[in-house]
Amino acid sequence: MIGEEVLFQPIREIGAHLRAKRLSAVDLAEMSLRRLETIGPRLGAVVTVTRERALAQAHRANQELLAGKDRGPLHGIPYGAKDLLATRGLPTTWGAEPLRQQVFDFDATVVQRLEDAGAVLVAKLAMVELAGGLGYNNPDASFTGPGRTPWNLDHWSGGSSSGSGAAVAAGLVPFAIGSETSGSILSPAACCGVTGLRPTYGLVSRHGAMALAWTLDKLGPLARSADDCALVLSAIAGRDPEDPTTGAGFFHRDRPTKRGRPGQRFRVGVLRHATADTDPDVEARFREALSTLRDVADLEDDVALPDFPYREAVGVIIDAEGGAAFRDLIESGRVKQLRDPADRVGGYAMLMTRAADYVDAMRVRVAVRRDLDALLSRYDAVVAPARNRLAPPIGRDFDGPATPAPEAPRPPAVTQAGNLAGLPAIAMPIGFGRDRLPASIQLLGRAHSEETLVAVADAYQEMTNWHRQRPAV
Amino acid sequence: MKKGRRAFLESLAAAPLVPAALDSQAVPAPPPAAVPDSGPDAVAEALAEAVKRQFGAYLDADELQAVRKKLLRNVERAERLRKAARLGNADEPVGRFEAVPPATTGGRR
Repeated sequence: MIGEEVLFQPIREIGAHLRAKRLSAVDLAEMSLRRLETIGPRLGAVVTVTRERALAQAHRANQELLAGKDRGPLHGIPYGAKDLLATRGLPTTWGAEPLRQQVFDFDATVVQRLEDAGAVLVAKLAMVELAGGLGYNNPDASFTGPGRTPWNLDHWSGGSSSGSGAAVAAGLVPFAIGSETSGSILSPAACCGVTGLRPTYGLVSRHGAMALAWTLDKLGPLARSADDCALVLSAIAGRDPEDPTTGAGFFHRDRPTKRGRPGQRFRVGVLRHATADTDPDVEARFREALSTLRDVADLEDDVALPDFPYREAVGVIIDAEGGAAFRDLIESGRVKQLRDPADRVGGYAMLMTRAADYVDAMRVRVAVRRDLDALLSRYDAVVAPARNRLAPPIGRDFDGPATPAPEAPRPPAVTQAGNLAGLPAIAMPIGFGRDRLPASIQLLGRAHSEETLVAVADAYQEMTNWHRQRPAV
Repeated sequence: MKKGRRAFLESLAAAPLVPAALDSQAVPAPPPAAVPDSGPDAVAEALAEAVKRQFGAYLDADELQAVRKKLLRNVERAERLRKAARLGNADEPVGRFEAVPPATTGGRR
């Protein structure tokens, strides 16, 4: 008999159980719902369990499979959606107390596409309020409380897609949808020890998703493996008339060809100062991961990111666009109901962003995009730790006293650079540090190079089992 | 006698063409005023005052102080951006605006 551990298995294997009738989609959904209801609250990972909708979808998926209709790899697979995706008739809270009663009368395009692919929506997952756009400074920044990594409940699950990372890591769902404006998929993937894929800007429709910064927002999967992420991305990517930024699609029906053979090795750049000002445990795991990657890739060390003010530009853009996106909440004073004190005041400063500063940041992006593409055209991926620190403890502000000396090398602003240029990235687990906290590597590639990034990550995951580890929850 | 509007505007238009030293009617330059502080602190202070005037009803003294600190960080951040970006006059921003509207609804709800 198949038990709840099936929720930790790769999507292809779960699908094989369904197709072989060793497991019904309804039983699978019930397992997921039960874990969401019992374990989810301990992790601060769940806003709404969508039991009724889930069971209806699971029944349909079952009937279709019995009738020989197969919608593909996600048919009958349960998933959770970050609670900034509109779902018809269900609360969509954006993680924010003043919006707890918000209900939309339509499904976000991503939710609709997953339904078309036969996936079963089992939960709306917790998130940092307003996706962290107003400048939160503490893990406790959602009306659902702090998100906790299943590996150590005293530590944060990362954000802003907190529940998406934790729910996958704890085997509540096989995959989840998160969003990233500047780090919100990669950070929870790192803190929770799962795989997260941030797609190229414009690859996945944001129709029906909360806007934080229109020119930075992206939606993408968090799952156990790169292959799982790619299967999900295949279902959600592609042009959507409702989101004019969308264009090309993405297809990943079969495993990519492993390129570990002589003459077909990957080419990977290791970013300069990748481990500067980095936790020693993260640095050690990163070095080990590089050693493993050498089996399938030629590594070039000391690859410098083009010199641009990435952090500053991203900050200005988020402040300007986020200030406009949440202007009603800020000007009405409703931000006073937000959880994190920093979020209650941050919006007022954002509204004062000077227009010329915003335009300058958007001017910088032209050169950033050009120079990053020139650099990345030489590699299949460049790599750095996904986070230079292990998951921070619950109950402590982020802006602690630890600031490196100004003359000391800083780690490359690879997350900000990638987001500023709209580039894809994958974060995946590479082992553990102290207190059983996961460490993670990120792979950054050219626009629309997801297939290559997945292939590199897949090759790494074929050689390791960090992505198969299960927390004791 | 009151100066007519046309004559007044004509005198303004001519002014830039006359070197001040040759202008017998030139008014002596006033003594130099103290240069106002225009650094990030002053800019943040001015923006904080704008926040106070517009949204003071929602913010207590501690919160206003927090806003001021964030504004100072933002102004300093923008200065770093400008210095590092080395932008020239012709460097255009990224943008998607198109004069022809898309055929579909084309927006995020």
